[in-house]
Amino acid sequence: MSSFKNWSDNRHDYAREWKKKTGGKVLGYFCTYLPEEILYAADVLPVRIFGQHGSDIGISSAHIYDMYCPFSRSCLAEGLKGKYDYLDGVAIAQSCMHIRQAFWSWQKHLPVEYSYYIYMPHGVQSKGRYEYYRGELVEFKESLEKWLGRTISDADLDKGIDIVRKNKESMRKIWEFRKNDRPSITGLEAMEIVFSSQVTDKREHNEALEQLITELPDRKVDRETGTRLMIIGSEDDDREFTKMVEEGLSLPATFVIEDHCVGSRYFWNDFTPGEDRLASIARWYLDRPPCPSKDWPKRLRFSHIKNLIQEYKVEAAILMQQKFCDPHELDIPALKTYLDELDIPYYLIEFDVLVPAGQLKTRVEAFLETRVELV
Amino acid sequence: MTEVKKYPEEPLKTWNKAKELRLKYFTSYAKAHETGGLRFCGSAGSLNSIQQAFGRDVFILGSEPYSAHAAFFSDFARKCQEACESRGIAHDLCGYMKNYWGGILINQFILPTHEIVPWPKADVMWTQHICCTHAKWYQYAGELEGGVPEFGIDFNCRIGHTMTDRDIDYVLEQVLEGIEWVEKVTGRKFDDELFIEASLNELAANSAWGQAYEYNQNIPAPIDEKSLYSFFPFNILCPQWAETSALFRELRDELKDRVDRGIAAVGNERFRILTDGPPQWAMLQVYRYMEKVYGAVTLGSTYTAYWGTGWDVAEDGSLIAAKIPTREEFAQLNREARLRKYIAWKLSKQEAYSVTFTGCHPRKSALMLKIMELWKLDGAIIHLNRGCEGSAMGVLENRLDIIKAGYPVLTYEGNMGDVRDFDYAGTIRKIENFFENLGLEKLIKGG
Repeated sequence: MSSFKNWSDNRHDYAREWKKKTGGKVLGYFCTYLPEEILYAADVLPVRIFGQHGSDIGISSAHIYDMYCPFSRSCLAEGLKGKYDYLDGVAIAQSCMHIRQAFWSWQKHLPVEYSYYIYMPHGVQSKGRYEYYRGELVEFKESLEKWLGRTISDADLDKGIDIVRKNKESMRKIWEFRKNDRPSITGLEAMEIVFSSQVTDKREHNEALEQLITELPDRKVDRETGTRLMIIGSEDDDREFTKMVEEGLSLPATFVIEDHCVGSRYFWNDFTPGEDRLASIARWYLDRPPCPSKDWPKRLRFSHIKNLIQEYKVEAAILMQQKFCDPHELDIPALKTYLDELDIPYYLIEFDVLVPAGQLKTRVEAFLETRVELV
Repeated sequence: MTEVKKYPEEPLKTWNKAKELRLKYFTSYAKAHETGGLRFCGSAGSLNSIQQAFGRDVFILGSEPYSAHAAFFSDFARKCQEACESRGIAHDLCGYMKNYWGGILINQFILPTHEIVPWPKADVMWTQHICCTHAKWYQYAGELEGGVPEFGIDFNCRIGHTMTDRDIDYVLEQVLEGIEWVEKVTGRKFDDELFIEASLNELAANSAWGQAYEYNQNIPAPIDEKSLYSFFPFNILCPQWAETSALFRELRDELKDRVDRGIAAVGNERFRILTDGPPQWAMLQVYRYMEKVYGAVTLGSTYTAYWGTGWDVAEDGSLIAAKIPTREEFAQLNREARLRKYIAWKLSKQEAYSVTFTGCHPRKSALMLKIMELWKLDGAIIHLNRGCEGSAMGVLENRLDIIKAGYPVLTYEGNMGDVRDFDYAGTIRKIENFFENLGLEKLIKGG
């Protein structure tokens, strides 16, 4: 388990070391809708670009308007500070506008060898979406081939698909252990598993996951589970907050599941292989539990949340709202009504890159004390 | 210091016709049910002619222009905003959307006459999805209204001059599905003849707007941005109406006549300004202040130049109002081919979506600089719009690009839909400092 934490703590060192060791190229990406399979097929290491909690993001203020979410501004700030100077390329699969802005500004001010924008549909329920995204992946693959000066064969794609698929399937197996009355891993550990998956070589990550899967049945967790919590939210890599809730409250609590992209949303659905590899990849991403920005006209996300609540025996939810994150803000009023109907107490917290841990400790404790029926 | 009129001024003759059309537009939507008509609602410019093809008595509300109009009545807009916030809707969400949702919540709809009528519930939500908000806007609106069916068309592909056949196919497939969907939920049939009529009107209106707009390249400018705002929304509200193309042709001819006779929008014009995005609607007097006190005229923007307007790009990069297909060209095609041609024209010749939403600053900066060059502008004023993440996208990069090209830029903060986010006195002070730094003295004392 310590590997995941170490990778999460030292992601930049890891990527630099990987480059030195393999001589390969590293590509930074801005949203989890990017098809990592094709990058693994091309022997390029994809690493998700994250911001840094507790770090000053003022350097991005000349480029991104301050009413954009702190995550997107923090991502750019880390780039402008030179934290990602090892990247050979950057790419984005079209996602929310805020992170797109971070990409455009990155492309402009932090030139790298390769830069690519994939027009990932927002209409993940729209007719023609599969064909359209497949076409985008064809062009993405061709542009990678041009950059790298090599062909990406079907065998290469099979290799990339296998690496990513195995990674995601392993995490789903591990998440089963969170259903236990005494979950075998904490919310913090789960977050570190997913976070590190997005910033390391998945082949190495897969080995650590396999090892963990063998250990979990006998793992003794020396802590009280307390209230079974779920995080529903925007992008969330806030380990400090997660740790504070699980370890720092006078009332015990454990995050047993989450719906966000540094959690289960990243790996939830099954991959269906097909002769046309790129079509299968396109289908996998389009059929994921959707980010709110893509969840229209029907609300597919809420029924997914309901299933998670039931499967993981969730007792209360934290609605984790990145400040200014419009897609999530748009869902919040309807989500509150939905959770009311499910009789799930919830507490909305607006997050920034700076975490006022003391204040949040008091607020979450007060929520648990007043809204949750403690046994 | 005295006000110096260098050029003659005259009021616009077409002004009252624009007012009449605006009243007709909003009233006919509100009263649609009285005559058995249908209300379609969604983002403005969601391929209006396709909606109109379901009947002459289909009335389409472009809800951003409605919400801009509501914002102009700042007390009314405040009630809408507060109704949303008291329901737990975030303050920083789209200012227009909150005027719309708020109208549902307080059951009030405001007409241009300031008359308030009960909220006219939509029968169908038909919308494009261009930013993170649009399809979500009508998703929740439909829920608030007790279950209005919604169809969304994803425009998040290449739009503008980089649009490819594959992008057009993506939109077309959705539109074809949408037509079947509307037929199912309304029981009405798509009328090809009506579509041809509506689409020819629509493209003619969009093109005539471009032709009218080109006249502002002249010095003095025959029309100012604030006046353009009174006409421009029809480009996306009801371009498919014959009255709109007629109005725009009349406006174009009037502007030509004004140019020929040297008639200025602002007699003391001496500094020409580019703006960007929707303004602070409840505070348009800021524009008049700049004109009166500094002779600084705002007369072009990526907003009024690109929303709803089709442009062809000449070999030298100049923007020319786009040519439109003839009736014969449209009529000889089958439905699918005709829709394809219409979509291609609407989305590949209009840069609004690409400059504001999908393309972001690399393309937008280039287009802003092209306007600055062709329209002979001296500087730019950019709205940091707290009420629209789309129009705020890339604006600070645009600022840097324009400064790099040698033009001065002023930014001010506001919210197109919500006057509570605007500091009038502070903005005036910023404007004064801006012109002071440029060495532009006040023309009138104590302005």
